[in-house]
Amino acid sequence: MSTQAWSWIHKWSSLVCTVFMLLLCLTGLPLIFHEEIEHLSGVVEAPPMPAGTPNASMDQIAQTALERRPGEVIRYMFWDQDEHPDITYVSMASAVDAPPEENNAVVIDSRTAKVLDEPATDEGFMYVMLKLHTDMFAGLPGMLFLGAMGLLMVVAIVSGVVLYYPFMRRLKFGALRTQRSTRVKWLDWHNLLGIVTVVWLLVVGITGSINTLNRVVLSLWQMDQMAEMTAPFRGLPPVTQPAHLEDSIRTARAAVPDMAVSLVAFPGTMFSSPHHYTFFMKGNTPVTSRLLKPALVDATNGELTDTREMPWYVKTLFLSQPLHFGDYGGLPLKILWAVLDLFAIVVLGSGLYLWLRKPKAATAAKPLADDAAETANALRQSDRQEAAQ
Amino acid sequence: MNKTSEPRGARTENLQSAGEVFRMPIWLGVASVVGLVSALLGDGVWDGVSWLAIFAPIGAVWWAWRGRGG
Repeated sequence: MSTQAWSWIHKWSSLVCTVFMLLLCLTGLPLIFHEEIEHLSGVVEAPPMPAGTPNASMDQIAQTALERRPGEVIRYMFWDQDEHPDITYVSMASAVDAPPEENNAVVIDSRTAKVLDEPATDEGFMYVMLKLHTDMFAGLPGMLFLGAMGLLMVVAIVSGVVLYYPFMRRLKFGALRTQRSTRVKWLDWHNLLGIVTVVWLLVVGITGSINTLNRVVLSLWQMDQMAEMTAPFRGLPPVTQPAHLEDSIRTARAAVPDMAVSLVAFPGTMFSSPHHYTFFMKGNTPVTSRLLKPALVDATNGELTDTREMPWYVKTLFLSQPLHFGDYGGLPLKILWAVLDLFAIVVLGSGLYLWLRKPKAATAAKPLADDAAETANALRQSDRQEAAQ
Repeated sequence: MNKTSEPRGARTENLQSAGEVFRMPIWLGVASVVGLVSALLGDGVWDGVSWLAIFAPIGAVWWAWRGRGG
C-alpha cells in the first residue's frame, strides 16, 4: 500500500474515533483511581470488633437484606476480602429479571448481620464518569458502539506506526523541534507520544473493546457451559424461594477449597441458572484472583451440581479487565496508567490540531511552507522507494 | 539560568533504515509488554519490575523533552 493510502486510513479512522477516545481518556482518568476516590469520599467501614469474631449465618444476612427492602429480591452478594473483609454487599432489585442496571445496594456487617448502609448507586460524579465511559448512558448499543470505536483506534494506531517511518527517516528518535512552526512542534509531539504509547494504548484499547462484549460473552457461556452443567434441571420449575444459602456456600468452599468466594449469583440472574446459586471463586494471585471459577449449587437443597474452569472466551474477558483498568500493580501502576492516559490525550488533541491546521496547497505559500514541504518530502521519498522496489 | 543540555541536532546525517527508525520504539514496546505482564504474574518484586518497565516510555519522553530544540 502506498503512503498516501496509509495516510488516508490514518486520517479517517482517527477522525471518526477521536472525539469518543477523548471522552474515554478523560472519564477514564478518575476511574483509574476509583478505589482511592471512594475511600476519600468516605465509604462505610465495618466497626472494629475483636479479631476472630465469627460471621453470622449467610441465611441470616440474606434475611436482613430482604427485611430491609420488602418486596424486593436479592440478585447478587459479593465480598471484598482485601479492602473490607467484614462486609457483605447485597445487590437487590424489584424482580429477579429486572433490567441489569437496577442495583439497590445494602451493605451488611458479616459478623452481626446488621445493615451498615444503603448507598445510592446511580448518582454522583464517579457514577456519571463510569456511565459515560462504558455506554454514554445509551445501554448495550452505546457500549458496543464504544467497542467499535476502540477497534477503529487500533486501526489508527497501526496506520500511525506505518506513517511514523516516512516521517522519521531524517529525524532522530525523540526529536522535538520547538524552534520552528507551531505545526512542526505539535507534529513532533504527536509522533513521539504516539510511538511511545503504542503498546500500552493497543492493550488498553483492545481489552476495552473486549470488555464491551461482556454481555455477549455471558450469553455465550449461558448457552454453552451453563446449559451443559444444568441439563438435568431442564424443564423443572424455576426456584423462586432460594434457601440454604449458608449450606450452599459451605458446599462451594468444600468443592473449591483453595479459592475464596467473591460473588454469589442468585437463581434466575444473568450469572446463574433458574435452579442454582452460582458461586464465583477467586484465587489469591493477581491472575487467579481474576480468573473466577464458578461452582453451581442446587438452591433447593444446598448440594453441589458442578464446578468447572471457565471456557477460553470467558477467561479472555476476565483477563482483559485488569489490563484495561490498570488496577493490578498497586498505586504506582495506577499513576503510570494515568500518565500514559494523559499522553494519549495529547496524541489525540495534537492529531486533531494537525488535521485542522493541515497545510493546503493554496496556503502552503507563506508560513506553513516549511512544514508542508517536510510532509510532502516524506511522502514522496517513501513512495519513490516503494516504486523502485 | 544555566542551560544543562545543548539541544541535539534533530536531523540525521543520512536517511535511516526501518531498523534504525524503529529501534527505540521496539525497545520501549518490549519494556511496555514486560511491564504489563509482570504485575499480572505476582506481587512484590513482580510489581517493581512492572513499574520500572512501564516507566520506560515515560522516561523516554522526559529525555526527549530535555533535549528539545532545533
